[in-house]
Amino acid sequence: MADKIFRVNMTDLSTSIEDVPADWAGHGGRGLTSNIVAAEVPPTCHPLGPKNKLVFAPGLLSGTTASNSGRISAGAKSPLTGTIKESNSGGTSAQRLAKIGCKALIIEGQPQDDSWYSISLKPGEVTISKEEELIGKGNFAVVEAAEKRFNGKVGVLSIGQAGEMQMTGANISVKDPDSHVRSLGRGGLGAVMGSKKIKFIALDAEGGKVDIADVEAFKAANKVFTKALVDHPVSQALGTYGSNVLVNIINEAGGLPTKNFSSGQFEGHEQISGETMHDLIVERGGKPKHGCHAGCVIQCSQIYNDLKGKYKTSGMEYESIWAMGADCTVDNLDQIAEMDSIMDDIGIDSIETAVAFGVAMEAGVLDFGDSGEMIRIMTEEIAKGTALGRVIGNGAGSVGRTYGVTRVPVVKNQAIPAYDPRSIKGIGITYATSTQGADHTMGYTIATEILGVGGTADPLSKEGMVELSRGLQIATAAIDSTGMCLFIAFAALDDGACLPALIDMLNARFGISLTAEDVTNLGMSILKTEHAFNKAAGFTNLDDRLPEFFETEPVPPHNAVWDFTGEEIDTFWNF
Amino acid sequence: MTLVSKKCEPQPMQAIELIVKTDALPRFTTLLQSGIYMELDQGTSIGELLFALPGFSEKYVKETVQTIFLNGLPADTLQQKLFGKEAVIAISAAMPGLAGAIFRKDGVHASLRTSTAAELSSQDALETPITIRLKLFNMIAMDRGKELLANTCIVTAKSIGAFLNYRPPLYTAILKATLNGERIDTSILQEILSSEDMLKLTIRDK
Repeated sequence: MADKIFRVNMTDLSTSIEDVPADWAGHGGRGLTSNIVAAEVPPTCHPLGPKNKLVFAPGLLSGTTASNSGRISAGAKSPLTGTIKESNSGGTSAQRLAKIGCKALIIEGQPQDDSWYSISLKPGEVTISKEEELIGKGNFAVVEAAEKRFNGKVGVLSIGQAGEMQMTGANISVKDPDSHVRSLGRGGLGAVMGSKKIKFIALDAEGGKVDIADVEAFKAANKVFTKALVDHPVSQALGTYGSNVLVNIINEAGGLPTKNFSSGQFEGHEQISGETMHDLIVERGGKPKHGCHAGCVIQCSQIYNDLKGKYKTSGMEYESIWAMGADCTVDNLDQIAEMDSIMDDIGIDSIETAVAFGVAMEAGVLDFGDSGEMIRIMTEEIAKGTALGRVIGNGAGSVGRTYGVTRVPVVKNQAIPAYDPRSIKGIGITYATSTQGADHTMGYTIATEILGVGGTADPLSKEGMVELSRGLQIATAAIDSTGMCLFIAFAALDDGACLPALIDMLNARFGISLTAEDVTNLGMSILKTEHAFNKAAGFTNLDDRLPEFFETEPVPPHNAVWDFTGEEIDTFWNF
Repeated sequence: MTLVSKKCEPQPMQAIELIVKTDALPRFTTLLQSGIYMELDQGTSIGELLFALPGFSEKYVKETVQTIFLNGLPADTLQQKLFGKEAVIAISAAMPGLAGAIFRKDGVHASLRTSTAAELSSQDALETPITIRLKLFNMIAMDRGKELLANTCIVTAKSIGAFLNYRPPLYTAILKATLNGERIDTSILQEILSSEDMLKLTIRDK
């Protein structure tokens, strides 16, 4: 089945299925969403107005049997940052979209009245329907209702109350294989979906399939690739403790931002560590090892049960646990799981919102460590759209501006996650220069030597650090286009067969002959496209900066400060 | 643990032994994230320390212990010698994330660190042994914790107390508890722990 562009116009409620323009043919995932947004969205438009477009795209390998290829990308101009934005997630939607034959779903325009809608896709068909029953409901109810209306195997993309109210911390939820939700979390894309009055999108892939140009070559490459993933020791750690295994070691490094970034170590870290979480999960009959999408062989997700052994939440990541835990000084995993579940249902980013709570605590709105009040505010203020709820639901920057707080950990108005850039400076460069605001996934550890993006400057010099961050961001942009989970990165770093096998799969899927250099060029092109959009939207090099307090407030215990000058950071874009 | 300094004066310390259900034993190994204590001769290297631990073969340490922290800073070499009054060492198996790669021993992204553990100066050597707190994270505690705990570790009473308080079901996995060889009821365990600073702890399933 040839891939098509599915287009939905919410102004006149029309739909179309179009051939893929040649310029977009080689793109998928982030590369495609960013190219479409750059080509069709006026950079200066209001992110919540009719000129913005919301784009969904499966990765280049999504829908195939390639291990860990189930990531879906969403893109738009972000209402949180004002920049171009791509957010990706596991769940079942990437594979459904690919099997439907949808290379990208573009949603444009805006309804003329207050009516709400749902969209459904099948192979060769896209339908807009009026929606009344589910308005005002959380994501859990939406997924349940959508499964009843369509066949149970349908993929669902939905927004909760936060998205309906266009809060800039709102995310888009993605149904997972267990009918729970994952999140296209960062950048407020749920608000864009809400601005287009779409409550949910149902993806029915019945009868669809993904064509492979060279089936045998694909199978052979996938075998090598899968072995590299399964054999890697990081996969073992991730399958046992999840990404939350990082709590103890980042705390040891003094890089665990605590009490709204006023310290680098959290006294209660052992109560929220991955090791402790593993024990509680096992004790209560949950699952420490669980996949967020079919075909994942790492399985870093988990099923977390409450004290009575009843399902509470799943897929809690280190960065979310850190944000609700150390940053707000909450040292109780049950309280964190409760908040995670509430935020999943409301449909709001658990990093942005929890960091916003940390800033609110600094402002005296509530006490540090008061998880009970956090839960009350989530359910009674954010979910209901009170003034306080909207201030917090609009993110950390919104809270800082409202209450006059100066220690506000954001870059381009997006909350800094989980790794204090004073203690781990290499990550700080990525936070500063990312095209999408502070984001720990923008410059992941990829096999820089294979892609030839390791840099030539002295790696220990600041110039070398900037160069390496650039290389990692280029490589990450390319990987984000494949539909691959970023956790393939560790195997790609250590096993020389892994990344070539990934390229072999791309070649076998499409009958092409990409080289590592082509992949690098793809990553460079994506970054440059995103950067050009931001410049046209009015961003300058002066936006590539960390907040001032990182330069002036030493972070205990090592008392490090951020000491990169603007000129040093600006060399990032010299390519 | 054969490396314990001979200069070390035996400290009066209570000894607690817990015999636990076999299937629950792995969950007790998480206690090691709080650290175990030992006194070593000045100038002992990190490698010598680790190789002396039960189950820590040279192959295991070199291949599996991929992250080492010395006093909160990443260390790249097992040859690093330990001097001074006290030091904290944390070890972990392979860690995910860019941060995991940055902190990895001799990792390709080590240049992105803010700082790396410097060699401790022999000028800081004291006449008395150095006190080491060794924390075990990630798969290391699960891989080797059972052997360590069976061999008696010195731990803080506070860490055991907090550990059990957070995991009440583990009390039901304790088949027998002794204090200095005398059987005690687990219901008084917290009371004993609250009155102690450091103690010798043994946990095994037989």
